[in-house]
Amino acid sequence: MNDVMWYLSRSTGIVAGVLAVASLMWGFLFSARETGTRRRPAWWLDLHNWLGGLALIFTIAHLVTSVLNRDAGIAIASVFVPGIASADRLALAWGVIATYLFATTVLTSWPRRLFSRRTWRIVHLSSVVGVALALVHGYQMGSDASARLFRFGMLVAVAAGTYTLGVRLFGVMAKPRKPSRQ
Amino acid sequence: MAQLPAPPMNLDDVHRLEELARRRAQDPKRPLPEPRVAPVAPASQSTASTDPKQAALAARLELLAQRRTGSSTGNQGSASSPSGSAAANRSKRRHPAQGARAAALGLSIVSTGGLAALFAVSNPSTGTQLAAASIVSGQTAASAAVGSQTATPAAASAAPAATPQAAAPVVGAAPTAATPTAPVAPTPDPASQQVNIAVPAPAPVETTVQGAVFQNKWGNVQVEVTFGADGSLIDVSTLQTPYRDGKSVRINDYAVPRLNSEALSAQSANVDTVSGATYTSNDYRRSLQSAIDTARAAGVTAVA
Repeated sequence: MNDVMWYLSRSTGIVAGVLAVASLMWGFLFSARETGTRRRPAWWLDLHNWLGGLALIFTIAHLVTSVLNRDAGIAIASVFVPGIASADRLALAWGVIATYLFATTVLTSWPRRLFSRRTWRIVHLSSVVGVALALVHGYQMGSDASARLFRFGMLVAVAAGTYTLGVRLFGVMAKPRKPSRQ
Repeated sequence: MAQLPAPPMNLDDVHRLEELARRRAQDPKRPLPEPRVAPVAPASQSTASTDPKQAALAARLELLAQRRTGSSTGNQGSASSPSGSAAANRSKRRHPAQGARAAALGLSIVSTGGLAALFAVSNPSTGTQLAAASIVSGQTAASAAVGSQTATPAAASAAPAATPQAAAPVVGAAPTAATPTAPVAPTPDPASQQVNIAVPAPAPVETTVQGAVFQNKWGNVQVEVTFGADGSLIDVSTLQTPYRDGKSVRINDYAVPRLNSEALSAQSANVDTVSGATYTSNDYRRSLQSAIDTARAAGVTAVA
């Protein structure tokens, strides 16, 4: 039983990370208006929302299987409070913080109209930090960090996320300013 | 009270009402705009109009009005299919990426299951190929060092490769004071494996056997087993565990006691893998099995 939880914990964590990175990429491309003409912007936004929700669901599955795996020694409290784990304190803390950021981002996106656009944007951008922390968490935990395939996948994820972030940032910088009123 | 005849309407009015009805069907909560035309009496009541064109128009408007109110009383037979397609359109409008959503969900679930299966299969305890590779990975005949007592590390490394079981022929069951067999320290070569026997006192009550050294990518693993006079396992401890980084130390701090207690309770090398300490668990099992095999060969124990 513990072995099954151990395998599921690792696999759900990896899939959650991939989904989070994919959601991030979709969001960057959508907000940069680099969605092409083949699909409507609504399609990109819809899939972005869905990927973010799925990432949160798989993150929760990752937490549950980690706690259910008794041999891992991860207490329930340590998945809610960062920095109190007996082992791998720092790595687990990054994961807990990333989970909170994911959850905040996803849950504030549903009642988006309740917040001002500025507030929503700040909260939404925190998911970028969350994805970065999740990747660091996966690497520092070290369960699969020694596997070449894992390292390669992480490299691809970082590269893809950075590329889309660059597209977004360059789009912001290249945006023509409104002419000042005389 | 006499019913007023239906007001005259042109084709533009009909198209406009059709458009309104379509929008209404897509979004029932949408507020209705102010009508530009006067309310129309149902066709059944507008019998005063004798013009067939006006009657057809009135019937059509009645149908549109029913659609606007969402009532299905008038939609019999073929009218149900437009209602279904409207619902489908509404769902599609709400989730334009419905297909991609399903694909993402399916792919995620399949990936999770596939990765979990991959982890389970790649576990060395279940993969014969990996187990064979770890055995071949550089073991030397430690028996030469133990048996002749004069073997040098060079001689040991020159010996042909063999399995740990075959490489552990000497046991502490021949306790002669004349030929004491000193415990041989693990060779500096991390790839080597050897079984060392600590010879007990002349009248042995307990026999201590050192298992083979197994190397994995985190470090070496070697166990020491103490057999009682009746041949049972009375103590198992580790002589070497991975220690290069703090993580390995932390893992083995909780994994080794579990493995030791499991081995003692099982009285064999059939111990479960401790999650998070897969490599240590596997090499622990192998080292323990080599020690047991060595003791069995010498008649110290009957433990399998």
